[in-house]
Amino acid sequence: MADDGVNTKVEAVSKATTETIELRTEDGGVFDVDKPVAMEFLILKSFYEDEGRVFDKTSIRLPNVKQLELSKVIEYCTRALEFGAKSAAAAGDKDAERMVRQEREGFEAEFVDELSNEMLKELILAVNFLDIKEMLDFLIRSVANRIRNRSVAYVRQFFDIENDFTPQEEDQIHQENAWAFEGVDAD
Amino acid sequence: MKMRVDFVIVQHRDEIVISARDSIDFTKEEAMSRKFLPEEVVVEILLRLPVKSLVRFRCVSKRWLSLISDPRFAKSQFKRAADHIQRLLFPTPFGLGSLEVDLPFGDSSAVRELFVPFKQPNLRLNLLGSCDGLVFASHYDHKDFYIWNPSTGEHRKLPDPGISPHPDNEYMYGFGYDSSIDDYKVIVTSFLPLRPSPGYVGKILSLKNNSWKSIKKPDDVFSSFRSAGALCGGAVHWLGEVLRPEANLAILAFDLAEEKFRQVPMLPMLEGEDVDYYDIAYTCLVNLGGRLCLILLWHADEELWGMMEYGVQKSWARMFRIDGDYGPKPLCMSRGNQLVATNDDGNVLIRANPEGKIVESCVFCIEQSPNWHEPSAVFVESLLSPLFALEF
Repeated sequence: MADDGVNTKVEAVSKATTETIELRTEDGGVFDVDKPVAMEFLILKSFYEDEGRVFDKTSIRLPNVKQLELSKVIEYCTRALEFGAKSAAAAGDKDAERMVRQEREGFEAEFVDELSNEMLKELILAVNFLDIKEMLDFLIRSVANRIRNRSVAYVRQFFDIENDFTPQEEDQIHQENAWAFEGVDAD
Repeated sequence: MKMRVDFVIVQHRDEIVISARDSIDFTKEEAMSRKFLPEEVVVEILLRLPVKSLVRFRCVSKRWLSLISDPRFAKSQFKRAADHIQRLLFPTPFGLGSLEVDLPFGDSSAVRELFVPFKQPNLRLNLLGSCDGLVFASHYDHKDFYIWNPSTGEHRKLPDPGISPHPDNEYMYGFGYDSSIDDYKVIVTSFLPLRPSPGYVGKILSLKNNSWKSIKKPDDVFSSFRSAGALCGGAVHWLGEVLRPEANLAILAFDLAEEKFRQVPMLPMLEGEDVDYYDIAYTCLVNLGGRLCLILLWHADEELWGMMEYGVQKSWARMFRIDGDYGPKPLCMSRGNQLVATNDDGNVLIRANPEGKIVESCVFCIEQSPNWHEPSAVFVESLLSPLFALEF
């Protein structure tokens, strides 16, 4: 549930001279997004480039995205740009580079820890739609990490997949490589 | 691979609406509740998982079984993996076991017992080579050859190369990947050591082709110290002796793409007539960390030498000396540039750091090899299938 606090924070980050785009979500969220951040959304970038449009007061509505997801996306992309800039500034200095990397890893770990499985999937759908490559890669890696040592049942639930094997079929596949089922996290 | 969602742009007076094309037919509630990830995204997630997870997730559904068993998926996953988990394969009292090389040896509970679907109960399995997770094995010197993936259990028996066994025969085996035709090749040669021409049989098989063809013998008469070759730089290598004009230590190589024998320059100090071979108690050739390496036990020292730049004689450099009198048979490099090896008898597993100090050792019942054949091998986890070529 986005509150005005999020919008205020986003606006406070943008400097007076930075262009912004207004994005609206289906559930009433309104976001003034800095242009550099908005251009990370390739769906917006290509729209502006193809149309030869300039930024104006027109607002863009995204019925496929909810305000909670969009606020998370903006948060991640904003930080990603900051880290990119810090990384470039640190280039050549091994210690500084390492610090930026660790800071980024810390942020990403915290960011993903707070996400429920449902939220993680919603974000993937949103980011896939908005076409944000770096964030999509990050989310995909996060899902892989989350499920890698989980059981078959957990994975079915995560992806909403129905088991279409008979018990005998499933048992046979299991027996072929029983070793792969050892040491798996308890559900 | 296209993951882009098709979208639709509609312009109103003061607002632009960008929506996903396939959602405009849904009611608002349906569009919001859709939680299925597109299959392309699911595949991207799967590609980032390790082999163990993927082998297990074949059970999730028929669709996932099909995705994970696809040879193109197996290849992509293997190429993408940041590092490949190395495992040691060795005989146990019950059959074959495997151990992850980078983890502490611990006790025998760390050993994963493997079910080998094609193994004959009364015969020892010779492990002759491995590449990309596929293991080349046989029951006999001259026949009963298999290609097997221990991570998935898939295996394939190769046709009989038609070699007549002879008690004095020496054999050389090789297995590796030929990138020029994207295929794996198997080499078997047999020859009577002191006779250059008669008695030599050399055969090569490519997995896609599944039939043996002859390969020309090496120019110099060669006798190898150990039958399983070391794979490096697109060629298989054996350490041995060139017998004519006089006996010299040499490294014979078989180039997998060109399908020809050649020699690789030996350590300069081991070449030539000045070398007293009686000083060299033990030598062994092996690929360690991608380099062709030689372990020498001579002058009571054990040294590990590596050819830092393939094919360049002066790039041979001593990598380290090893403590103790293990007479080690090196197996592979583990994390942190540590050497994993067995002792001469094959019943103690050791790990040595780059300074040559033994940091870990463990008594295992790795059976002693009574003859030329290899009791143990190193393989990496992969989903690659030995059957891939047969399906198409």
